[in-house]
Amino acid sequence: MKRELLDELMGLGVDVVSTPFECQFYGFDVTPLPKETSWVFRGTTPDAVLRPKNTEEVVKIMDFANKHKIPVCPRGGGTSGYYQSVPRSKGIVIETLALNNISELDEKEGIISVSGGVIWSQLDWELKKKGWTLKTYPTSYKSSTVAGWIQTEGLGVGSLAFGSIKKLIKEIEVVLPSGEVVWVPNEGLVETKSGNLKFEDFIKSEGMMGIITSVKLEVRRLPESTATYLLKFKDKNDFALVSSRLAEVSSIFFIEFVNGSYMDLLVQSGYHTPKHSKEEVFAVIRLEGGKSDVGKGEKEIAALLAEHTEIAQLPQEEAEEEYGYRLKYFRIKNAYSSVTPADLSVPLSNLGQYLDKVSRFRFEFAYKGEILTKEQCGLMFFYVLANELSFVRFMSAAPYQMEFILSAMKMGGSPNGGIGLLNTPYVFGLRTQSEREAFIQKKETFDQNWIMNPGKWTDPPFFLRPSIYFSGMKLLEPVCWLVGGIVGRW
Amino acid sequence: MKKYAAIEKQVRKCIQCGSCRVECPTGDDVGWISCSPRAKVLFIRDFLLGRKPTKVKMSEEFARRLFQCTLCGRCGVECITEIDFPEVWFEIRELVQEEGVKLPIVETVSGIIKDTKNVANQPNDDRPNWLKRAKLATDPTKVEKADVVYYVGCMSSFYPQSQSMARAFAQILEASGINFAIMGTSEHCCGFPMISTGKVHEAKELMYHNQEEIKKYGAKTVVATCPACTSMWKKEYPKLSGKPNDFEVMHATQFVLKLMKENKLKLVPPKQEMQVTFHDGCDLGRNGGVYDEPREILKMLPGVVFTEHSESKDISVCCGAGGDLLMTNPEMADRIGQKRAKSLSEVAPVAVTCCPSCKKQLKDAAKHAEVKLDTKDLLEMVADMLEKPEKPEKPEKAEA
Repeated sequence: MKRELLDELMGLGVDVVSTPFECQFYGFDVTPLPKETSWVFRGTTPDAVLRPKNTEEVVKIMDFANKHKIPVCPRGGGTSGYYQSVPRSKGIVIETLALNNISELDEKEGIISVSGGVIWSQLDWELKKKGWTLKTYPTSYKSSTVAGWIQTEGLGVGSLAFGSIKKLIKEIEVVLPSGEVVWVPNEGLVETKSGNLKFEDFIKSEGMMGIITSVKLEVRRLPESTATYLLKFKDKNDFALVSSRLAEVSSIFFIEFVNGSYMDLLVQSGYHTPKHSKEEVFAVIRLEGGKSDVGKGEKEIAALLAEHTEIAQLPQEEAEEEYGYRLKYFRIKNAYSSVTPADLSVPLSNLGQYLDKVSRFRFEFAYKGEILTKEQCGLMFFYVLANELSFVRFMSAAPYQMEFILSAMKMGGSPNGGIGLLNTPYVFGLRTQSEREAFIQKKETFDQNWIMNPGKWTDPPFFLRPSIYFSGMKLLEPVCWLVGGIVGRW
Repeated sequence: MKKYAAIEKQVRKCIQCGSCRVECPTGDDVGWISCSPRAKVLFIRDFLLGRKPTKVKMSEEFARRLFQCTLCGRCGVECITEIDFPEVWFEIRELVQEEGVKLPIVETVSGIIKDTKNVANQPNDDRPNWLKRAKLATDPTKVEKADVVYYVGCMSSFYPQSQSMARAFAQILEASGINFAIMGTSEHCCGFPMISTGKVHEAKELMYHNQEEIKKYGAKTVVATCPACTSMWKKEYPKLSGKPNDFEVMHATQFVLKLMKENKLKLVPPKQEMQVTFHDGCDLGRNGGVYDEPREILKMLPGVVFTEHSESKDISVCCGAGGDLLMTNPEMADRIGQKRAKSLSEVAPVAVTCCPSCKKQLKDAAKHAEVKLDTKDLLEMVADMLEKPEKPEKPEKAEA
């Protein structure tokens, strides 16, 4: 950015930094990439970073960006993992964390109004002081923002009970790329200067349609009763067999499961685990709700356990401990150098079939799963090859990730966490052609200068275009399987 | 072994999730990610493990951000891969020193300690001056052999707002009949501020002196009122010298609780009931693991009504004084202190601490924030309740 533009930006009266030292840290999110890829992902370091404190300041920035056609990349906690919040063409990063106002809770309606940059854990902390809590939250609860998760249509802890975050939003305030501010209700159309918009236009927009500055969100009173279980299954098939039934248990709130290899990694990381073999699967189950509902759920689980005597119930303390670790599943990183997981979801009805298929891969992996809804299961695979500190190993791991995801897509699944930049090759599995076209058309209408978060799946770099990416991976694949066969063991 | 292998092992664990950022007191104050643990770890990872052409160079900008940290250890509680914070911060500060990046303020602070042997920039001969108002029957600086040595530390020796803490503890020790000694002018800074600035060699010099001096007393127990001094004696000295202590090291609250449980202290309830909350100092609580003892004492004190603050124990919020921040970035330290003081004042009119730095900091911050909060040291509360020996009645004055 030219000096005079930077000077103008500084004059907006919004907190800003523009030194290379400060800006360098905004060129990353949680996904570690080898340094060697920096020649491909050029332009990821912004020219300036701004921290607006209110909607008016966001409008000022958007007006400036429009006037000078400068790209704007919104960033909340920077936890997305697919470079949604990392710029592709330098320009401006708007860090939303100073949009952190939490307004009064409407106890009658069970709705709280918050600014878009509020962190989930901080919101929950404030709610708990009043005897309330969140209905659902991401596993990045400690660092991700309300607006950030909305824009990837988040599913996470509690979504099994309450559905995706989309269902829990009443209304959002958005600063459009033009600088116009609109309140968008969950249902119906809203008129703007450039045309009509609806809630769905923002829900998976990943910062490409505007900046969400305020949110009205449904919350709940702290549950009257809870119950936590840790169950041990002989193998993945045994778990898959009862997974749908578990998801239907009364007052079910959360189900997470891991395989024995994941437990091995925990042991290597210095944690205590129950005795296990590699094949066994362990599931943490959490019920939350009114006393009678939880009681009913407990009876249903007791009946299931009586019917399936091969399932072992582990002590209550261990169950509580494991549930307490639900946000710390990356603690296995103590065991090896890097974690670049394959993060995906499959239909719950195909879980057993999918796990069967991937178990035939010729390298060892660990996995952690979460039943996200009554129909959908999230899975995260960890494999030893993925090491961003070694370009060769990192690249060798890419086809493995591809195998996990493509296998899931063949069974009706998809990658998790949105598209952003890095999931661009899988875009066809995440949006139908008509959805993609409609989105691009909308973007062209409402973001005529194409300033909002450009360079992501809508206009990706050459090598991330699906056809190019998959051709490259196919060429790499034989070498990678060989490398994986040799060094792909824990 | 590679030079910085220990740091490498820790920073490799980081997954850049940013969980450390939200509750970081200095990160919150500065706002920019460069001040967050997340960015500092990323920078060091790229410095140590990066390869040309993108390997980052050590810089003064980084060092400035690195020292904008109270070493409170909250990042360690939040870290989802359980990186060994704040230990790794000490090591990174040492690395920065070894890489030759010198911040003037850091050099000034360490220079003062090197020259005067204390953080207060006072002649070290003034160290035992606080004793003058302690009204002790015996001068503990004159004791040659003792079961217990009270290591006073710089804060309680030199700063008026913290001297009362030293006096209180000395009075408690005397009231319990313990044979104790104080090193007086031969006591030097424990070295914690040196370690905090990454100057390990200089910290060792201070340690060697203190270890030599304390040997003379033949003590079984060394007690400190300052949690940072306690941590130095208990954890760092054995690590730096490679030799275990031949005495037990305790923080004063642990020692006083023992005395109370042994019924060695006779306490009289105060005239007025006192509503208090407790501020867990970072070095005693989160980094020292001492949570229960101060609370047990508070519950045993007559006439004290204790209310727990919601942000306590491992999620207690730093007062802003730690990690040399008060010396290197006093304004930031004050802003952080004001926030904590306000928050404590919402729970009770009195905040009790067990750390001379926290006490001084919260007192100053409450004043600057204009909040009604009195800060008391737990030992002072105990000392104030000690049964006073009956004074002989004064003869009535003859009527004129």
